[in-house]
Amino acid sequence: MTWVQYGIYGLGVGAVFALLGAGVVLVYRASGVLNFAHASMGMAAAYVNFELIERYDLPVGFAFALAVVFGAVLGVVVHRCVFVPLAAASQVVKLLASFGLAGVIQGLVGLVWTSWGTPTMFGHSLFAVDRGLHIGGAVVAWQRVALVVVGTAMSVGLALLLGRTEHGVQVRALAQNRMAARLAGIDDRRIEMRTWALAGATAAVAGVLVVPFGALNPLALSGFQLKALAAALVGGFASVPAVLVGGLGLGVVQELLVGAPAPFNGMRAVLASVLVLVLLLVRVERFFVSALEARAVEGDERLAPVTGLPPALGTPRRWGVAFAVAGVATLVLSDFWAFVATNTLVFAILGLSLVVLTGWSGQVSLMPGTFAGVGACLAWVLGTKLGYPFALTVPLAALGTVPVCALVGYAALRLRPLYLAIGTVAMAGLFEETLFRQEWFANGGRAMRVARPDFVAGDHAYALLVVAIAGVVFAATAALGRARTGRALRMVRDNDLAASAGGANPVKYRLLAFAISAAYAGLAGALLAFLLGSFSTAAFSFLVLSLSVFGLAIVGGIRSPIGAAAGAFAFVYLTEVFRSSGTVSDWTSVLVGAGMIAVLALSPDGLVGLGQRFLRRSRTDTEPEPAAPTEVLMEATSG
Amino acid sequence: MADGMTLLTPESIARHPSCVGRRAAALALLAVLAAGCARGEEVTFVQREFAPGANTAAAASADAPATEGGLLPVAGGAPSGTASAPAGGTTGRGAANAAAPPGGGVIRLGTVLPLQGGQRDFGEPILRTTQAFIDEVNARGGVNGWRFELVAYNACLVCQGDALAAVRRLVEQDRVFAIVNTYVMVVAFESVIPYLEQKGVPLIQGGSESQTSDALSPINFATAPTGAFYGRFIPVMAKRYAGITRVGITYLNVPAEAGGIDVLARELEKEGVEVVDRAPIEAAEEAVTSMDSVVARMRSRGADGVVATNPVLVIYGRLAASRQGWSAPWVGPAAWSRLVEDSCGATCDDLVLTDTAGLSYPDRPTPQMRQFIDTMARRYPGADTTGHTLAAWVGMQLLSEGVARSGPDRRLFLQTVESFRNLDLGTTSPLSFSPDRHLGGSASILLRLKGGKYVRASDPLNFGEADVS
Repeated sequence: MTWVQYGIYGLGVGAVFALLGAGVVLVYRASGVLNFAHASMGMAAAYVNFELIERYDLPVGFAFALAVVFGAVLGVVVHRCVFVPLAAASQVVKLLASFGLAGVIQGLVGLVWTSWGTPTMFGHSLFAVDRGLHIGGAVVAWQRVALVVVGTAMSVGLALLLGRTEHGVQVRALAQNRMAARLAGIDDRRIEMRTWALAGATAAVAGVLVVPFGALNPLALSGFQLKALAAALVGGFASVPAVLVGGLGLGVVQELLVGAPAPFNGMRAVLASVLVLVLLLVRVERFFVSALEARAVEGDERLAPVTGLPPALGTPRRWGVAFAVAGVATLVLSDFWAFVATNTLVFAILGLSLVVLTGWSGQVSLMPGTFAGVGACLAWVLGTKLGYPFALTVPLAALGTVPVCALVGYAALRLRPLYLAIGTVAMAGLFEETLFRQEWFANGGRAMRVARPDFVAGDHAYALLVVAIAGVVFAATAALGRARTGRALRMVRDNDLAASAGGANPVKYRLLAFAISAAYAGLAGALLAFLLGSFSTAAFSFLVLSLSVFGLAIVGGIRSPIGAAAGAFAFVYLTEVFRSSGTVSDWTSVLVGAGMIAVLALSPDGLVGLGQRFLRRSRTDTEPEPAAPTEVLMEATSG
Repeated sequence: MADGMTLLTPESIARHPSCVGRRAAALALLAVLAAGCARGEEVTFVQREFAPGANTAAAASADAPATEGGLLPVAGGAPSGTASAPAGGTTGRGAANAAAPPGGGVIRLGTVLPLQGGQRDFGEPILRTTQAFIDEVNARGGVNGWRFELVAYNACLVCQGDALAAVRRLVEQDRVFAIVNTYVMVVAFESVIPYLEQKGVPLIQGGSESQTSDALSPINFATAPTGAFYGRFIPVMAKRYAGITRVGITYLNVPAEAGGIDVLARELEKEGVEVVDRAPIEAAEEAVTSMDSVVARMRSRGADGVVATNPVLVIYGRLAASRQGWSAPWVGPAAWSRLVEDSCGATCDDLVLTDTAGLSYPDRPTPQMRQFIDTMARRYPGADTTGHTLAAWVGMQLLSEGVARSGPDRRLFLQTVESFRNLDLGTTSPLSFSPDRHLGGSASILLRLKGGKYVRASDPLNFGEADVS
């Protein structure tokens, strides 16, 4: 009987995932945006609802309606201000922009509403939370019953909208062939705008209905984002009814696991991540949508579009000179700024790991921080537990990261770029909940201490060491980029078939990119561990480190080592600038998020791309980008 | 501190010592040190009577002590060359018995807190309260002539590199004398504590989130009771105050919290309470979505009460239990939490609760408590005085007491604080420190919710140390 209760409760929980997932699918189908800010949009609407009830004493139902209108307007604004400028960008770029958008929305909400004294618990609910429907021995809160009903009704309504109305036909036409749809007279901007409005409204419905179960704060609902994504994936981001099935199913499984004995009940921690990975690999959407539809919504997923500009690689010699100068400059810095400089270099190496993996080979990984965490833990295992000397610990940690992360690389081979990006988010969660909690590997998630040897115990000595290591890594990467291997990587990124035809095995080069990237990230993680002295795996989580590193690589210019260095410098320096404000402020979130969106919209090659345009004449130290793929092929495959 | 906003970050919800197992030997030492406190006995406070006007300029004399047992300095009073020991307390070392010579400068203090985004609710009340205390002290001429200045930097709750950079900047660039009130940053400060130890920079906090590391760090002082606080308190609460005999434990499955569950279960068994179920909550959002199933699970296993290890689980669990018509008692560290008051209301009536730091004294009629409440009400009308804000106030009281006696000399300051014995600041339990004991609290009061408000359920209690071997 108790198991029946778990299942019934699971339906109520799953409705939350389904409701949020439906909005994600809607937007994805219309405009190719996998919107990670969807939950944040719902949160903003929930704040509006709160404001209308608390401050203006509006009836709960009326406030709900106005909040839904606000959600629709917010959807239109987001579309116009963020995704219209990014219309020509790839789906991966739009995905990254949605991360920035989430930061902007959360920051703005913090600026407008969050202040000390604002209730964190929202006491007003359309439906009762403290009473419920008695069914099968369970008592389901009326609010959650409403979620099931509304979620089901919305799914049916949206399915009818997409399948039976003119608007739905137009959305599908746009998804399948935008150019043909335009030629047929469909106003794509208008259709997209309407769909964003609809998605914003669904986010608002979810926000207003779900928030009474939890606290009202700028992060409200964001914890459900991954599970909503899993629900959306069940339908391959194409079928709204499938989202309902996926959401309810996920909720039921989750609650059944609550009742399971240990250790099975602990599987809930990785349930969403595992489900996302399985769905990505199995491509379960084929059971719900036609192959034509599934292919149609894939669209352009390459991260780095052809800009006409060659990647700024630099030469090994110039990198050597640059880091020699940096080493000398380090000597005149104070201890604190030497520490900051070391931190900058660690971030630069982390950014470089993405240049090779994402910028060159086109594989979008959102888990550089996780790889760095593996390196840091290995540094603790080797240096502290096994007593290896520092000189051996750091390189072994870097190399040891490669096989650990090879699993990710292998899985990556089966995923298209957008799905790989999502998959790495899920895999980061999987690492954090499993490997990063092991006693033998990560001290059970508690603090780990590593000690630098005496000769690099001081800030300046360690800074000089890291300058030297970074110099070697950057020079080697520049050499790699100029060599046959680097060109082959970029060829694989741009054209799989052509690369294969020319003898450049895409599988081999993709795995190689993962190996190099993992080694760089592992190296950075080990160096960061010794910089901190004491750390835990919490410092290497997706939200803390991976997003920051990806952001800095994008802003700097993800195709270029110079971009990684510039992005790291900007990131660390701006952190210190904003830190000095020392005030309670959410402007940082707004500015960083908006800056990321602006760079993505204006300069796909980031700050380096802007600089290159400015200095277009001085291209002598950069690689001449071959215009014809055949040239690349010949270079890549020649002895 | 007990506040439901912890829902946002599981690590920060953690209320249990994160590393009880590996620090068993050290805690055993603490247990010996704490043996002087009778297990389960009530602690008698030496309380001051609140004298209206005692802290006003009119009542002040020119040679009034700069600080007296946690009271703010007398308004307009000139710096004094002598400071009396706090009422009800003694100091253990000669160096700390007399006040430092009056100074005339500014002592710069630093803090690092989450001040932006969704985590801002953790940091802002602490920052505001710390600043309020400093403004009040400065307006009254400072502590022994020393005025305070606060430099605050932002870092997220788990951003260890960022927190270390912020603290290094405070210490090396801003030249702060001490770091104060960073107790919500326990995860982020895993990188910071060794640095502060190396530099000898004091870290002073009211309350505590990581009771074992605070106890072991030579520079870190906190006002929570010593050792594995919950390991002893919760079993006593469950057995003696809630009458539970078969208990289910629900907790957030994050390292800092899950690490204390074995100790808690063992202490419950010692108290004669059978642990019939353990239900980990795997993610913060599950606290919102899955408590119905957790309650169903507890009932099916025959529990007649529940221990929930943080406020969020108490609230949502109790709401779920109420929906299901299950009236079994719940206990947990959720006292003086705004979230519990705001959201649980009558549903949580009769819950037996403690807070996370031995600070549950809302009705203690002392002038110090009155100063805290009055100041906060005046400066932040409508804002709540919660465990968060009181902890920040207590931390500043402790710092002021130390500065009054040592001046801005870090080594002397650390020795001075270590010498405090039975120091009654009027806002928390009497504090005693030593070189081996940096968690100064001695007792806590249990509270019950009545009509959504906290009322005292016990006298000050001390249950000694838990067995963490």
